[in-house]
This record gives sequence, C-alpha cells and structure tokens, in this order.
Amino acid sequence: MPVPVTEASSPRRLIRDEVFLRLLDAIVDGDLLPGEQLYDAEIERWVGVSRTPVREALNQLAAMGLVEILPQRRTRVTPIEPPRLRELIVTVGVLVSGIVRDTTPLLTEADRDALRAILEDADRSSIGTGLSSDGFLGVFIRRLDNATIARLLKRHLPEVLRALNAAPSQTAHEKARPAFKALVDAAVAGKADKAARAATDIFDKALVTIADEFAASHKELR
Amino acid sequence: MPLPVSDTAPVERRLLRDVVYSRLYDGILDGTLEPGETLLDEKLTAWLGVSRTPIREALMKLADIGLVEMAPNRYTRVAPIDLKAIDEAIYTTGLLHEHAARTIVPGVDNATVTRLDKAQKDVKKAAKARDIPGLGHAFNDFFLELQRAGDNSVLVTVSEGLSPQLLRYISVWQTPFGVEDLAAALAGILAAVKDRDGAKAGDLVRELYAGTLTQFLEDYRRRDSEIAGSPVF
Repeated sequence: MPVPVTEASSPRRLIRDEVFLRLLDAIVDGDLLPGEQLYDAEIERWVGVSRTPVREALNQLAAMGLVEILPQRRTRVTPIEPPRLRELIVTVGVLVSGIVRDTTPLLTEADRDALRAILEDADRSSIGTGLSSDGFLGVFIRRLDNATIARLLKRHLPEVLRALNAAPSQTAHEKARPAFKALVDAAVAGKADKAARAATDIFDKALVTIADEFAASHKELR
Repeated sequence: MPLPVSDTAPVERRLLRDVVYSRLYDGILDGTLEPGETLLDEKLTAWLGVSRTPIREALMKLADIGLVEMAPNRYTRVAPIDLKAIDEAIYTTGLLHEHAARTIVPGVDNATVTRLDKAQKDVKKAAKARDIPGLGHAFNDFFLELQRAGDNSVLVTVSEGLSPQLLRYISVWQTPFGVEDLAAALAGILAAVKDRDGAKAGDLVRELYAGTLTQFLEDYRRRDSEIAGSPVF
C-alpha cells in the first residue's frame, strides 16, 4: 500500500505562484491586452525570475484559457472570442445559480448580514467584486464548502472578469444591478429558487451582453 | 510588421504530449498507477520513452482535472481516493446535466435520442451483469451525448473534466446511487427526452442527483464553526 503523505503547507510563496499571480492580475485588469504577444525574456526581466517558473506559470494560465501557447511559435494572451465567451458565461452561470440555490438554505445569520452589507456598499456590490471572493459569491461558496466547485470557479471566473473589464460599455454593469439586488433579497428571505433565478439573470441577461458587444465590434472591424 | 504565423502547432510535439497524457490518464483510471503512488520524472521518462517536457505538460493537465497532485519540490503523485471530492464532483456534474436537460431536451434531434436510447440500454445491461465500470461509462455517455447535442462546448469540456472523478471511483459509487435504480432513472429521463419535455427531464435529473447533495451535507461538509474564516478559493 502506498504510504500516505501528510499535507504541510509551505509558508514560502513559490516563485511560480508569484509569477502566476502577477500575470493573472495583469491579464484580468487589462494591463496585458487580449491578443497581446508574450515574450519569455520580457516576463523574466519584468518579474525578475528564470525561464522555468515563467513557463510553468504560462502553462497554468493556458489551462485556464487566458494564455495561448503554440509551441516553438508564440505565446499570447488569448484573444476574446465572442462565441466562446458566451458559452463560458452561461456555463459559469449554471454553476453559480446551482450554488446559490443549494446554499440559500444553509446561510447563517452572519452570512445574511454580510450579504446585506455588500448590497449597501457601492464598491463591493459592483458586479466585478460581486463575483470575486470578497463579494456575494464568496459568501455562498464558503458556506457550501464544496472545494471542487470552488476550484472550477476559481479557474473560470478570471476569464469572465477580464472580459467584463475590457467590455466596450457599462451595459453589463447596469443590467446586473437589479438582478444582484433581487438575488440578495431572495437569499436573505430564504427563497432559494428565486435567488437562483436572479443569479442566472446576472449571467444570461447581464454578462452575456459583453459577448454581444464584442461580437458587434468584431463585425465592425471586418 | 511581424510576419504572419500560421495557427498550426508542430504536429510531433503536440501529439507526444497528448500520447503521454492519455497513457497516464488510462493508467490512473485502470489502476496501473495506484492511488497515492509517487510519480517520479525519471521513472516516467523511462516507462514512456519520452523527454521530461511532454511529461511535465501532461502531468499539469492531469493535476488540473484532479487525477494527479503536485506539490512543487515535494512530490507529484496519483491523487489518493477522496470520497469527499467524488461526491463534490458528482454534485457539480448534476448541475451541468440538469441545465443540459432543461435547455437542450426541448429541441433535441432524433439522432441524439437514438444515441441516448442506446446508452440507456447499455446502462441496463451493465447493471444486470454487475459490470460496474461499463455502467459508469454508459451512464456518463448518456449525459455527455445530451450535452454534445447543445451548442455550448465550454459546458461539455467542464463536464468532461469532471468525468474521470466519476469513472475512477466507480466501485464506490453504490453509495449515492443504487445500481438498478440508475437504469430506471435514466429510462424516466429518456421518456421525458422523447416527449421533448425539458422541464420534466430537468426535474428528473435534479432528483437523480439530489442524493449527492444530501450525502455531502450529512457526511462531508464541515460544520459552520469550522467553515468560518476559511478562504473562499
């Protein structure tokens, strides 16, 4: 029988993780633009590390769909492709809506307070923060305690967020606001199905407009 | 202006990584590589006869779908069997399948119905023969066929990424589902598919997977006091 290995977390943040987080933030925030070419040597200089951790971080980003690696040719930030973006938004919406539905009955009084506080705070109730660990989604994910679904969202949300940050207009933000309020109101009142429908609206009605906008602007360019 | 680069990767290199990936994938699913077994680069290069790079790339992909665990500078190993992770993966799969049922069933074409029919019959046969791995594959195929009939390839990819968790641990699968009940449940879903009744199909899928959530809440989920303060991701 294989010997079990005990889990011990290293306090030292690994160089690879450091590079990964720097690049991730730069892509999500738009410092590195969709389609932008990435050169190993430039990243090595920028972060001040050697090639191996850079390649590993890039591989990790490629697995998340944020970077495209064509071996021995080029590496670039994945361009925004409207059809894929739409599919991704719908898929993440399915997961989030399910989490909201099944977690609403589990919410504690402290969670309900936290959700109300997020709704009242203009910064934290923006849809970008709403979908991060500091926002409403974080409250639900933590309470459900399903590590597998949390990992899936951690992996796919950045691609949604970078599209939101790069979106041509504020339409998605505006459309998300009422849905977001409806979600919190329903969840606080213990109405699971209603909260889940509002969560779906955030994705299928508000966020998909980003894909539509990119599709329209791509058409103009042609 | 930079020269245009064609979008095809060098074939040999891509193939190599994929070949290594599927060898390791199969080895883990069929038990050649045991749960918890340490994977040493030099042993893998000797076994598969390829260099370190495609092996590392394949291992990262496998880590991504939870079949391999990598702790840099400490170990790379076959992920140990983790009942909580299986339950979580099945629950998550259920959400995706329920969505597929609700959205795809109303407009599903006859060719897909035929494939679902076949998958359901395979599940029934496998259940009768107590062929648990066969049952797992057929069950998985039933829902993947339904998802492939839709137009969301990301959803299909995410579902496929969760499949190995289901298939690998198939032997411990009786807990959430009774084997006989499974064929019957799929027969009910299939009937709703034939009626193009997406709402009914969705409700039945939800019912089929409800047990995994119940079990998660009873057996695996931490207490609220333990959850407090833990990181979200």
